[in-house]
Amino acid sequence: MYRTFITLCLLTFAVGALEAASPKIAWYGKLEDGLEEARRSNRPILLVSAAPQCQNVPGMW
Amino acid sequence: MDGSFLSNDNVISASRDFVCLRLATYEDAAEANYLRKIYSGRAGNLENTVFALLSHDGQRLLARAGRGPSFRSAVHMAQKMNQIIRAEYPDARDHRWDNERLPEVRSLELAINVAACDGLPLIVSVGDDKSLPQIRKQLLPHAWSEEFAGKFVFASANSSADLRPLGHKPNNFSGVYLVEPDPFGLSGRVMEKIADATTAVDPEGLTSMLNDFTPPKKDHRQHVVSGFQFGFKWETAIPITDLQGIQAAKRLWRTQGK
Repeated sequence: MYRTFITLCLLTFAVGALEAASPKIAWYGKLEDGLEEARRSNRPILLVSAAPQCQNVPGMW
Repeated sequence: MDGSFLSNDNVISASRDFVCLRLATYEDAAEANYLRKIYSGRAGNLENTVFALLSHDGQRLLARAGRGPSFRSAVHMAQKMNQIIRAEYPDARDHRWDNERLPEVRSLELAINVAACDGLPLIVSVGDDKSLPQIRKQLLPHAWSEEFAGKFVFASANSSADLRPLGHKPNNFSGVYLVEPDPFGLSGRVMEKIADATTAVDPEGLTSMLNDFTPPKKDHRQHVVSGFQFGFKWETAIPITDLQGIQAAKRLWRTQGK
């Protein structure tokens, strides 16, 4: 029972660490910031827009 | 929009040579005007989602714009992005990590909602007009590093009113705070203060916080149903103009007389 508990804890930690370690896209959140940075550094833009609410319920794209 | 494209390793890798800009639809009038010019629905309306690859001046489309990526697969999307870099922006890689601005969301209130949507913790810079630039400067090298890029949502606040979504004002006002959003993104819990204007951010501490952060697992349908039952309704800054979205929201909220 104790071993099972410890194993579960280690697995949970490992999954959390893996998720935290996986790379993600780094997004500018304001139009003016992204445009300014793109012009300054002469880099193209990956633009996405999405509503942070689903049927007006927040917390879900 | 198919989120799987944006979480694909090849696309993420290709994105490092781009400036990646994600706007919250219907939360700013000027942004909405810009988005409408990039892509709009048949009636000229701004729809819930927009996707585009654009030139560095934000004026020229480098691939077809739409509600989402129109590529056959995420791999094809990454190939197109790499092709753009080779053909038109060969020096982009030199600027990968020298960004000069923090990737902040427009307000703390919106940032908490975005963080809840993403299942990410927030880093909130709190200070006055004098201390905020210094605080932001401290965070820059961490925000724009392979280790931490995209793993936090950033926001700032310089008044008590700004801090309302946190429910309380931190005791020593100025500093950098790690905040956990609630599942519906309507409030945030201050987890700890991680730096201030004089003490540096500890990258090992950030890694440890990331490892300890466990966002709730969400089922899309259940989340919407629960939010409706609790009466959690988000008011957008400007009216929603996605026709399908309007219909769906009306059907859901009609019974509450809202």
